[in-house]
Amino acid sequence: MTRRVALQILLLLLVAGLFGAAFMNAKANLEARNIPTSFAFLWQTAGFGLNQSLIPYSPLDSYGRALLSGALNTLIVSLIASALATVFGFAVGFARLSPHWALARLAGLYVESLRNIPLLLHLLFWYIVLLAPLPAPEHSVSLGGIVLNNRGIYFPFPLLGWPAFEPARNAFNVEGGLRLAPEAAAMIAGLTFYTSSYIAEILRAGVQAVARGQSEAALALGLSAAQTRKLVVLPQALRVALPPLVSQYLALTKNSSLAAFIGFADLMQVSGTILNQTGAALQTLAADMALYFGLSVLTLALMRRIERGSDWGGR
Amino acid sequence: MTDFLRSDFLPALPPPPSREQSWREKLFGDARAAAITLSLLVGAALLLPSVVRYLFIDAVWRAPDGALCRAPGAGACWAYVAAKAPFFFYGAYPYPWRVNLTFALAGVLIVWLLHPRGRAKGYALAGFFLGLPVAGFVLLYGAPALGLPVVGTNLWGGALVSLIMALAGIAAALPGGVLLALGRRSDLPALRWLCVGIIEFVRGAPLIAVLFMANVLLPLFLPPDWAPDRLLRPLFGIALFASAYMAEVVRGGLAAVPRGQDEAAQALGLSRVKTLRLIVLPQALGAVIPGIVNNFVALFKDTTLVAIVGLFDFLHAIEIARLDPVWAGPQIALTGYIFAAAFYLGFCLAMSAYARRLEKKLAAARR
Amino acid sequence: MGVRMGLFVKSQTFGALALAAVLTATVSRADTLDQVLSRGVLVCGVNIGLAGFGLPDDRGFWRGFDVDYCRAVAAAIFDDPQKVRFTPLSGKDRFTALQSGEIDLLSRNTTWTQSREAAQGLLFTGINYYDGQSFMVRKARKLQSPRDLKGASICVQQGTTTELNLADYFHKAGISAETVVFSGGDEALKAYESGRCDAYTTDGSALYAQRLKLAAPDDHEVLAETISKEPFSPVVRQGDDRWFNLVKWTQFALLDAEELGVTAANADALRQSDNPEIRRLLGADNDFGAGLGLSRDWVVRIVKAVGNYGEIFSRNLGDGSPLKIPRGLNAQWRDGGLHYAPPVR
Repeated sequence: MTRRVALQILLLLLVAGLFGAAFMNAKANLEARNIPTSFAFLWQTAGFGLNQSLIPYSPLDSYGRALLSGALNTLIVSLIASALATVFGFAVGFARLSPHWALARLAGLYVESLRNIPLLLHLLFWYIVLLAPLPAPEHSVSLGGIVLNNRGIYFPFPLLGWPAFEPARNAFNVEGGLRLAPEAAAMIAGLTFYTSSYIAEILRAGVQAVARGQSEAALALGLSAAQTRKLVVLPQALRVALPPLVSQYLALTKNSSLAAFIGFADLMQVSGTILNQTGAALQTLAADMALYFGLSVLTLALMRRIERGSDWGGR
Repeated sequence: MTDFLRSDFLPALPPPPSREQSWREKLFGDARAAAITLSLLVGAALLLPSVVRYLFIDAVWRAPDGALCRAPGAGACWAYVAAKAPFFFYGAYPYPWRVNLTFALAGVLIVWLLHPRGRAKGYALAGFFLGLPVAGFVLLYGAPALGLPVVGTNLWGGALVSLIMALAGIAAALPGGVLLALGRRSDLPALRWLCVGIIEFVRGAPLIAVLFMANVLLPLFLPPDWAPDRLLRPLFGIALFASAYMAEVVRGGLAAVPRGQDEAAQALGLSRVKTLRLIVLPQALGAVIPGIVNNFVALFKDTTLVAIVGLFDFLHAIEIARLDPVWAGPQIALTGYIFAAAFYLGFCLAMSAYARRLEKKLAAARR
Repeated sequence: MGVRMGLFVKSQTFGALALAAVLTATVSRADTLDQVLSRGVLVCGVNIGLAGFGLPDDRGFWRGFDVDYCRAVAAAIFDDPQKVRFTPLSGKDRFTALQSGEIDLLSRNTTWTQSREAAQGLLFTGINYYDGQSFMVRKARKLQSPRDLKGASICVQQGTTTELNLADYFHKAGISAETVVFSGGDEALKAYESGRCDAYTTDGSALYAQRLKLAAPDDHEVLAETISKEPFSPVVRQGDDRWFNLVKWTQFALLDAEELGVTAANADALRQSDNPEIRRLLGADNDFGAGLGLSRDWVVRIVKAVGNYGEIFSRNLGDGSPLKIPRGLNAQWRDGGLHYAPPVR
């Protein structure tokens, strides 16, 4: 017993020593290089623009607001992509389980090819594929107030905090309206297709985990194939699929950090710019981690509640 | 629930087909199947010809520069891929043979390690985790004493960097993951919480953030005179990231080893270290080889992110080469991406196919 | 590529860190010229690849304006412009490499700023290229000034002062524009080419070089007006005055040679000139090289090897190169430019 305690104390001392050394080094390094260690920079003027923001933002706003805007961009893109990926993933997953030979094979091809290509390649691909056919602003396509060109899609849409407006042309661009930039669209497309291949597999595994006798029994009881799927198989499959599904959503959110490669202003990109301008390395990374890590902790806690509380609970 | 109660008997189902279904039965067995088949065929008829024309018929296979590829109606520009292949694979590395030799060596060791009938795997293990890093360093970085001129890491690029990142990442992640997983199972609370903290922290962060940390924070936490190389910093980040994910794979393997094994070994008088080394770990790791291979595939795909800290991996080399005015043209980007997709797809599919085969074999052995 | 890192010391995230270490550790470094002589080769830090400034050609031979400065120094020391080993350096690594003694001289389109000299232990030997941040736009737009970019979309690389200058400029001018920020300069350039942006911004010199990467360079132009001052200069370590002088006077000699009409072709012949200024420059009468640790004919060696400033400029950046950068501010003072070298006497 004393040996265990001694071992643990030794370990703690070692860790404390490492942290101490790291802390001392960091302190010396930070001082030597005049790196700010406070969060005061959050209130300074950012001075850089964001091409897509859910909240009103201009370069005259603060770094803090830029970070908030980046975080919101991360969240909204992840949310939309998660929803779309679920729809696509379920469709492909069911196709893969289809008794139809060719359809199942095709769905298998979809899954195997999409998930074995790096996400970054998906994003770069969608970025050029979405940009190339779109017209320049002077040749914008208008459809019932919606304007489409290679700077994005503009919807006439009044939103909280924004003046209600219609898209209008200036010398270069269309201004106003609610805009989806091509960068955001490419992010959503890339994340959706990449993640849908994983979700299809999760669904398939979930359905296959449901004992065969279950659907046989349901059919024998007189349920139709559709009823069997909806009332018997899916509820049980989803119970199995929920935990990996949720970790896929989290992975998608973390994967959205690749935004900087295609010029989308997500949290990582904004904090990268701030890091370069202020040198506040520790603080910006802390802000990033607060979002990603906080989100995972929150989601996992929520999951545990759902598992415990609902009739989906552990078997 | 009474709604679903059937009052009459179902007609007897036809007996399961006693022979393999014919193609016609498979595709046009009933109206539903026929409809699906037809719509798939229509889709293929619409899509396939243009894909085949783009990839093969209209493609430019041989050209001295991009003029032919810029012609309207031209398909994929394979001539560009051929001209740029050395850059895609080696970056600006001046001695391709040194790279080839290193990866041939790695390939032999990996096949030896993963081959189900490989003998004396202890040597392969030692070769992979000890010999290969040393040989790789000497061959790639150079050793003037052996007549190999030094090649600075700033000249490394392309698939060379991608593979080094993935191989070094996995070589570091296996022992790292095992240690973290063992630590997580330890009955010493301090050790357990430390390992859980490391694993969950890294797994909660995107790889880009981990790479940023390795690049920006690592030098901050080290004494000022230890400035790690620009290749080494992202490598550290990747190793840490891969270790955390590997730890979870290994944990699954450890959980699969029946407790009786452990107890029997101790009853036989084996020390704890020996129990671990001779009884528990071989079974645990053997059970999760597919997971390890899948981890490696994921890691290989993730190496595309090192471009964010200024390294030229395979994908980034393709991105850069896109801007050569000799070749620049409307089809260059797509050609490059198709080539990159084929490269990653080929590599990752081969690895995951291996993992799946092994999984089946292991499942059969357990039965 | 070829974009400066932040003006602030702080933003040189790891470069400056290693540097702080070196500052304390390398006070007693040996004389650089002696090291170069005993090594028999000059080690020169250059750009990893920026057309016109430093870029290896198909056979691995380094070419460019900055590269020729390295050759000029090597010619002055060894009478052989090939006795240079080029170390390609990224923006982040360049100062570390100099401070750690890995290179003798940094000649890599580096902007001279106060903080780099005051806080980072560097010495800039003299401006050899006057640059400034500018914009590349489509010719068909017929734009005159960055001011005309009101409401435009502008592609820019992340993490450089370029991004900051851009915001400052538009703020001062009271106009707004959309900035699309990419992690890499090449990605930003590609997005501009694809039509996603109306302008691409970075240093003027880099814009000329990157224009060549476009499929149709002639459809694009670089606006003459700049929005920042970016004076480029070679860099040496502090604490070695002899080496500092040698590099500095190599630069002045190149400029003086151009001013006096001394070229690679006529340098030998002009030693017999009766113009006393030329005779002094070429060491015909007195030995001005000794004070720098060089030979009497040091300027002849330099000019015969790489030509005078005008020849270097023309060959790499100007009319004789694909870049076709106008001399502009980089003309001699007599021609309305800013280059005004002290005399050799």
